[in-house]
Amino acid sequence: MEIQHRHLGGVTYSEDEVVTFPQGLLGFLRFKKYIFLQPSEYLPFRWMISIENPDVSFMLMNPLTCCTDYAPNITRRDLNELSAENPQSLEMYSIVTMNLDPRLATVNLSGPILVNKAMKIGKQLVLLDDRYSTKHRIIQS
Amino acid sequence: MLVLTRRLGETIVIGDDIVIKIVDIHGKQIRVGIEAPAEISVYRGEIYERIMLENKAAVEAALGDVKTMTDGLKELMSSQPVVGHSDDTKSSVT
Repeated sequence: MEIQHRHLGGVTYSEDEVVTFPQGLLGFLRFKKYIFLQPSEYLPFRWMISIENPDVSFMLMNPLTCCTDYAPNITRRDLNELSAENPQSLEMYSIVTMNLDPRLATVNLSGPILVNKAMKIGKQLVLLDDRYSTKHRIIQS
Repeated sequence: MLVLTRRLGETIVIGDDIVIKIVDIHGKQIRVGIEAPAEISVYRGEIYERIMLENKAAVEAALGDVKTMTDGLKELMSSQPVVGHSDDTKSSVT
């Protein structure tokens, strides 16, 4: 399968790389199927791209890179939805909002992305607590 | 919008399996208990809204000159003091 991405050009993927988000992401509920890519020129960031609409693509980072004590509450219900037995079997990413002024780039710690790679299921958590911001500055000045 | 008056401890039932209970009232703050099936997502309204807006902002930004933005950010990150790094997700399960 191939999609055309405005920054990455032609992207080839196989069906077993597709991660399904049964509930979609807030604001983009129609799009449920995403692929994850880590092109070397964008590392340490990753791309999460909707195969249904490649313009719906997110840049991700490991939230622990900028917030070492990050520990969102993952509920049993979240685990059930992800067909996971424990949080350790999940991968966790946070969505980055890039900015032309890189000092203003932010990461969304309030809505982390969890992925069960084995089952190819993903979910964006909407954390109920107020500890984490949707606009956490990556560069702390 | 349907508007109902409820007292402390009283409930509202929606459909067959959603129950909303007034658990506590303190001045302008009301604690609400919600029982709903697992497939029904329950969010605080303002957080739901904030995450939706941030998702849209992130997608919008990623449509722009994202390579330049990423390169600039990477440069700043590499000159930032390293505050240690942990690979395990220290998340708790409740």
